[in-house]
Amino acid sequence: MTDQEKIIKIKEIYQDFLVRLNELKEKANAQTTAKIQAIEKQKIEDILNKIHKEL
Amino acid sequence: MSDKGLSAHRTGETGRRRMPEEDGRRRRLRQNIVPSHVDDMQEEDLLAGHDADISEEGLTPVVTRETRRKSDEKLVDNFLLNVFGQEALERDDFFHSELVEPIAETIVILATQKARERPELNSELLTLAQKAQRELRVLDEAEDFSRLKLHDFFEKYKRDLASLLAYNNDNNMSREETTSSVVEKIEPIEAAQESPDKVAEEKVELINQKAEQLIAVVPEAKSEVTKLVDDSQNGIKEVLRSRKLSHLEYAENELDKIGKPKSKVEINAESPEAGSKIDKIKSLIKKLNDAFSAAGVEGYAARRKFLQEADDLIGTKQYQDIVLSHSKDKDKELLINEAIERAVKELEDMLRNEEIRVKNLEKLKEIKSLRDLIKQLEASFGAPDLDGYDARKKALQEAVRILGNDVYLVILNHDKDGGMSVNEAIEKAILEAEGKIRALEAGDNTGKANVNSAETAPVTPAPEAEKVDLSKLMDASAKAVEADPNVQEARRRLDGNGFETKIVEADPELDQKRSDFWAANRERGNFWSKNRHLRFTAQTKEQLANYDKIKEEYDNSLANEKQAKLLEFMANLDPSLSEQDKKAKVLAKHMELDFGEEDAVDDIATKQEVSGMGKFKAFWRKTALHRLGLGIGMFVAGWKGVDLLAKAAAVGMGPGFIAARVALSSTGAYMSSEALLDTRTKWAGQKGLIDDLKDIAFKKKKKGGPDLITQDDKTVAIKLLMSEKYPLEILEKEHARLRTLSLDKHKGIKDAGRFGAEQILMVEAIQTACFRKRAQAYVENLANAETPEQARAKSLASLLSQEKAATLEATSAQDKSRIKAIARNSVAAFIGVGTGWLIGSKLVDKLSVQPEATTPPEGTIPVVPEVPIVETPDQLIGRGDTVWGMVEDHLAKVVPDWDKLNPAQQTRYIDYFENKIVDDPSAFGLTDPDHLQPGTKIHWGDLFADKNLDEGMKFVKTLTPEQMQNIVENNKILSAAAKHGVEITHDNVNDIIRDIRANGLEQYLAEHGHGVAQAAAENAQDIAAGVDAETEAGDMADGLEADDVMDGEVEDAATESLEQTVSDEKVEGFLTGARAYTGDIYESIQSYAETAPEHAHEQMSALVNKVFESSAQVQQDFLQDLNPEDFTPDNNKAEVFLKAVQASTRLPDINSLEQLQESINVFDGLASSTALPGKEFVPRLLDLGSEEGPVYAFAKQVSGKFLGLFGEKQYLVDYGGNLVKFNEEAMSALLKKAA
Repeated sequence: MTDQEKIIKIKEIYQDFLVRLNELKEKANAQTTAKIQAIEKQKIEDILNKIHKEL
Repeated sequence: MSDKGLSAHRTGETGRRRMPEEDGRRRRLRQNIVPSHVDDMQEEDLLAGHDADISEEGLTPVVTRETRRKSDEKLVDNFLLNVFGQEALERDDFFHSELVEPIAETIVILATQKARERPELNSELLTLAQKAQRELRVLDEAEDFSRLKLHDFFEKYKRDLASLLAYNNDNNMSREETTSSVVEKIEPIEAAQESPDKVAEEKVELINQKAEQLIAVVPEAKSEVTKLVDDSQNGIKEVLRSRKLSHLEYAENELDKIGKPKSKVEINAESPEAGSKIDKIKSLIKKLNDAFSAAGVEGYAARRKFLQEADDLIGTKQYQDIVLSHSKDKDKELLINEAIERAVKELEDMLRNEEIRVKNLEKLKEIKSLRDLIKQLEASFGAPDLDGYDARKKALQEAVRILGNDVYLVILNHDKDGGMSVNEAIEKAILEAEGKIRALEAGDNTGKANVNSAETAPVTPAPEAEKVDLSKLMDASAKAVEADPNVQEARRRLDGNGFETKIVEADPELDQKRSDFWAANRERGNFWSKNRHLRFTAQTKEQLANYDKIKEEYDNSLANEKQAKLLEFMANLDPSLSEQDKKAKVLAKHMELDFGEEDAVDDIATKQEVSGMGKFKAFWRKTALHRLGLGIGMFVAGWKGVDLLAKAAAVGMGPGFIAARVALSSTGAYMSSEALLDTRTKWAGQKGLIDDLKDIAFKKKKKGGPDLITQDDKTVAIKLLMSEKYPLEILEKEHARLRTLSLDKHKGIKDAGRFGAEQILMVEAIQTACFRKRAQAYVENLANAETPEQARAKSLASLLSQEKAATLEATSAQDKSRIKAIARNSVAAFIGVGTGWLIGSKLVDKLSVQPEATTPPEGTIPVVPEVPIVETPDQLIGRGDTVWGMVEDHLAKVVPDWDKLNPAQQTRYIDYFENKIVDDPSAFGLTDPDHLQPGTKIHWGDLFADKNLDEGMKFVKTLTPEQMQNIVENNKILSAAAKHGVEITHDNVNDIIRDIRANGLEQYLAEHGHGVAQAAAENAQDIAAGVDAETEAGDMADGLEADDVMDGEVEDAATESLEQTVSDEKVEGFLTGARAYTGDIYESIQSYAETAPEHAHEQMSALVNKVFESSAQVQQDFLQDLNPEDFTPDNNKAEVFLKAVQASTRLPDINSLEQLQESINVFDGLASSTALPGKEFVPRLLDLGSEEGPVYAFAKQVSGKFLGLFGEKQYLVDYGGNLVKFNEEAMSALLKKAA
């Protein structure tokens, strides 16, 4: 492999790294969103249960 | 861009690995124009091989683009020849873009050489070389790089170098000094700007940074991010570790990637290194194993040392790290031992790979030498005799050496004249070499080449071997053909038109045979065919035999046609296509042929000429749905007419009429049943797989319009049908069934589904799937063939069997269709006859009932009446019903041609019956014929028996014109009197007529106190006049009007008092039955509701009480007066409300305004509900789309499955006597819209 090729290859690896890192980021974001939604839903249910009990 | 990775670029196979800019570069290279200094090159010694004609061309004033291009190429080639030598240029994998680096090297070498010769010029040489390196770099990076520019650059450098050497020629320096200084100083420049290490460092840092950032934000992702970072960093390390590859290594890599050996590769150089590597690995494994068992400090040191060696060899740092990082650990021994185990394992793997690599390499070398030999042999073969003899001899000697076969040498020795024998030897040697090459290649995993083929294969290894070549098919051995049972079958079928002939000719009579077959097929389905015994039983023997013959002819002809077309298609296939592509193309062609045949048969189906029953049959099957509607209508007409029939019979209607009714009903039942069976059943009708398909593939959808099925659905359906669940046989069956229907309906197959256009896409799905599976079977069959002749035989056999199966299915579908028709018609006929029988018997029952009234008293001699007397059932009296009206309704029903009687005659007829009732009301269950009690029943008895109908008719018939005139006038008088509020009873009717005839209506009204009522009924203005003329109140009003001097208060009081008096009188009049109900009665009560609320309330209750004992019309009028906005004449609320109240037993009789209001509230609650009604009629507010807005109506659910037709719930809406049906969806829409 020539130096030039090596440089290109390294740059490719870096690009690939960035892409995969972004994927991880998106995945993490999606998980966080889902978690938040689940928590909100639970809270709403709790409140509703409370109201029902009081009624 | 000096990239050896690109060197494979010349060969087509590896072209895909080319970098994109390469194309551009090559293009630019070709288009480049010869530079102005092209003549300079002649002077350069380095370009010694440069042809003179090139320079001449370069100097030619008019240079065409083509000659320039050629000269460019030659120029460059000469240049390359000088730089790299002939041998390098002959290499196929030599590639121009890698020129940059060699030139850079050449520059260094030149500088070094010159520096050796002229050490005094060391610094100048260095500067020049550095400058050249820089320029070279710029050139390499430049967008418009070309081979020619590179050439120019190099020429310039050489000129500069030459001038430097010429210019400065006296200085002394040691050789070593000069060389080292130049080389040292030049080399760093090469890599100065961007080194891989530097880039790697930079990127690793960036990777770490970015990873840390993400981990900081999302700690959960740490493990994944860490793994990613590790992967990336390892990848970068790997890249850094990889060293520059030699040509051979590069080629090997490429070969590894492709997985098969490539011909012209430099192979020779490598093996010693490979061998030594294997030795190294082996010895290290041994050392590690030894060290593993060695004890003490020495052993430890040895283990460390060998692990480090292992790292070096493998190219990692892992084992070294283990030793280093865990050296303080107390378990270090264990760890190191583990590390040794792992290292040994890894080394063993490596050894294996290396051995494989070396083995492949050896194989490659062998192949190379064989190819070289072939080349040599071929070259010597073509050489002229005298020169060639030596060459041939040499080549054959080489062949003996490489192939290890003395036979060639023997030939050479025994035939010194050369000539044929030598040539034969050369040919044989070539064949043997090729065979060996194939054998070696077959040893690869590809397994494509045939080892044995060396003996028989032609000189050029033909890729065409895969192609289905017709000529080869023809020439092939007959034995293999004979052995194949498929072939025997095909041959037998083809009747001598066998495999010896070149190609199976397409049958010119195919069209005729096709239409013959389908005509015969249709005839077979013809129930009335003359080819049947007794015209409609089993088919005649001749017919059956004839049919088989026609069928076979068609099968053969079509199979031949397809075979011819497919073989032709295959012969013309591009041989370079992959096996897969070829299969796909043949498959598509096969399907195309099937679709073509389909069109041809469609043509027959649509254009067939038929007459008589055939036409009727086509109409019949085409119009199944219409028949269904018509049939049901007829059936209902027949059924509903039963009562009427009874009456008709009673009044002496002719038996023909009854028979017609029964026949109508029977035919209706037959038609609807037959149509239902036709459209709705599988066992007797048109329903089939296609309808299942709709259900299976489109469960999501509900029944709807024609755009129900989309292209997407078709795709889904095809997918489904292509699954294993639907084998070809099932698809063939359905296809044949649809074809039969298409023939029956005289339509194309696509329109053959039960719902025609709606099912086109589904038919297409079935066609596609069926043809595709046929084609698949065909291609599979073909692929199984081992020899071309087998392939051909299998092709024909497969086509034949397919055609045979298809026509057989068509035959059985036609037979089934006929049997279904018989079954359908039998069942329908049974239902039809059954219905007729049912209706007939119902009629007979009616007619045969002996009415109680005519039962002779005990003890008397029974008198058998000449005409059977029919008793009319008791009838419930509704609100507003009158004797007259009820009799009229009844007569209208039972007397045929009632409408043809004139009003006078009708009146007389009704009068006859009414008089009978009035004369003896109790006999009819009545107390007061003038005031019928709603809810009670009128007992008609035998009133409408034929005897009475005839008797009544006698009066009607004997009416004179004078009498008729009289009756008409009387009617007018009575209607006018009724309009003016005169209550007409049976007691007073004659008096009224007499008085009015004598004195006029006005006089009568005046005398009987109807003046006010009359005036009120007409208009408000007339009130004063009426009062003025007839009553005291009128006088008062008149007086008030005349005397303007009276003040307001007195006027008001007087008016009130007057109004109250007038109202009271009106209300009284109504309550006592002396007056009819008019709107002003309610208004007048309302008018003093404020001044005398109690009195008003009392009066109102009395009014309500009376109203709800009066006729329905009065009640409706009253309700509309009560709340004109709610009970409008348009919304039908009054009628529906009244009926609802009447029907309800929960609601008490309405005696007061409060009770009425309560009922209205209950009704409103019920009617405003949007819930779908149940099986009882309930009031509902519906928006039927009329301009006046929502209306009140009765609605109920009607349902029931009748042969699967009314699967969904239906709702019957009774709106003012109009009956309308809606489905569930529409009904709830109406309800919601109204709400």
